[in-house]
Amino acid sequence: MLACEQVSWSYEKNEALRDVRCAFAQEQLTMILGPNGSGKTTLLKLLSGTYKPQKGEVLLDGASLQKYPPKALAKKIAYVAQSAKIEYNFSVIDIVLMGRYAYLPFLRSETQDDYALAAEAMEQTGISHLAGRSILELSGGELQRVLLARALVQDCDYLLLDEPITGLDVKHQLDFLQLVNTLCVKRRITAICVLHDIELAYNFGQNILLLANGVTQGYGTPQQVLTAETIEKVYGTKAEIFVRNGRTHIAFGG
Amino acid sequence: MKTSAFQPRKLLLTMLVGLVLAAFMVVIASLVGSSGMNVGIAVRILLSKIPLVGQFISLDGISSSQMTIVLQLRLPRALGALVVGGGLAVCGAALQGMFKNPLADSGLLGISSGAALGAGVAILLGLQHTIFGLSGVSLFAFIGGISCMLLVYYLARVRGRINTVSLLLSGTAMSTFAAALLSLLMMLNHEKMAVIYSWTMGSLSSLGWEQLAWCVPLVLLGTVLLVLQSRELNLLLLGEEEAKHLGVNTDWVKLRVMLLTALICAAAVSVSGIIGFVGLMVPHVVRLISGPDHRFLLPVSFLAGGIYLLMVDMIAKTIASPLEMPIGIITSVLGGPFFIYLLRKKGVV
Repeated sequence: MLACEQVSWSYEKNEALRDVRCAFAQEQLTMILGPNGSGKTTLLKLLSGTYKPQKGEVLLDGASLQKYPPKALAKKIAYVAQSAKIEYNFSVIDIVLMGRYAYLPFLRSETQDDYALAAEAMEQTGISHLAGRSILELSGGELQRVLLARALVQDCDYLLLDEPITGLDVKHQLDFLQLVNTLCVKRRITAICVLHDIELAYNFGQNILLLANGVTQGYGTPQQVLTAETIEKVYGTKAEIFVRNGRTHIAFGG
Repeated sequence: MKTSAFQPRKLLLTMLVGLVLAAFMVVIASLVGSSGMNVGIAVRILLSKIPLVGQFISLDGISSSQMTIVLQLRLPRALGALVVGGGLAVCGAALQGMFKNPLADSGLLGISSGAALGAGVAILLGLQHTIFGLSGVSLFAFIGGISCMLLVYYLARVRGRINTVSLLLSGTAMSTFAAALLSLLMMLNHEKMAVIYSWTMGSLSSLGWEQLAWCVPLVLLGTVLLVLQSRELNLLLLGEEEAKHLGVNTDWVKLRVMLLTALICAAAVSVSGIIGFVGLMVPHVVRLISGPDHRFLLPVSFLAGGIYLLMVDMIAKTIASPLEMPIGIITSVLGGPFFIYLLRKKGVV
């Protein structure tokens, strides 16, 4: 279980998060939504242990996140950064295998088991055919799936994603979110994803955590949290929510 | 199923070829110098010292002065060149990886300037005597290099965290500061200026077995320990946050790598003086061939740096014979244009 207990965080004098309290639903995908500057990415950095809460605590399976040594944490929580830039000419398989770092004993190289896990992760993310390619030659969509595969070989319970679909075209955005959804079920992973797109969050997230000015505006299913009234209150724009062919659409403005 | 681009067999093969090449270069180096030497004689003298093989080699007709030249002068100097060049190159490779900065080398963390300042102080104090093969100048250079780096590390610590950019900045600042102090010392002591200045240009001419006895173990031990950080250095190439998310204790890795490079580099520089461009250039050339994987890059850079410096030292010995050219001048004269050529050819190194 990953949970925030009254977590607060400020950059110098600017308060980014105040008393955030949230227990993330196990083995489901939670989308963190909110306007620019609402504290979404800050919250993700607190959840990943990059930041230490100035007040309150982030609890991982009942213990404070700060109590976990780096390798132990990497076995529990994986992080897919927003359009991570890799500037060095590694092959895709080498990047994916780096996810096994926390598991490798001192001076030991990867075993057949590590390769098998990498192969499985790459198959599930649909990048098996890229294994020997240079990471520098990949398209944005391919790179995101490589990073997802690397997160999977960490054999994590929790997957944190920071705007993972920024810069991808519509088709790849949908495919990627669908993939994360599938993996949550298949691998029993709890995923927490920061997203900008309200409509995509509505359709792909089982849960929504809505933030405004560093304060939680609600946590629950999209139907509970994302009503026309809350969207207007939080984002300052009118919204009309309607369902067509089983998909929810949101029209803004007007 | 594709396997990793890193193949232990490829590394082993490359290292073997490198070692054979290094041995071959040592033989050549024992022929080159101000007095002539016959290939047969040099090879026989060298072989006679190799265990098991040695007993079958006859040394008839070889004078004791020839023995001395090969065994006491040229052989230690050649081995010293291998170790100093290797040490500088492996440090450059590790630091370039750790900082994700193609311009990083041991000069950047203030190790070279600190060592030069230490050596300058020792020369001014007249500490050129040798105790157990360790001259006062070497000892002061070693201490100067290490303490300058520790100071850089301390200055770059902000609220217990080590920021890479502040490390680079404080390294540059300390380098400049130490260099300025050295210049001041030289200005105030005109009569010793030439001695100090020639130390800062590097030379392997005074290398003997006594110095190797303490420099070689330090450099080799440091290099082995540094090679053991290869996997962490690979992960750091993805960026510090990424490395952390994958389970790397980044602050601790950075401290280890800095301490090891300081140890290797200070030990190397203390016996050779400042030799520029080896640590910067050799890893780039190796990286062009092998890619960025430190498991390959670090050991191969060590061998390549050693062989390169040995070759340059032969040029230093012969180009202005019977005078010797300071080796640091040659590495920089060769290195500068070659480096620019590489940059322009590849665009980005």
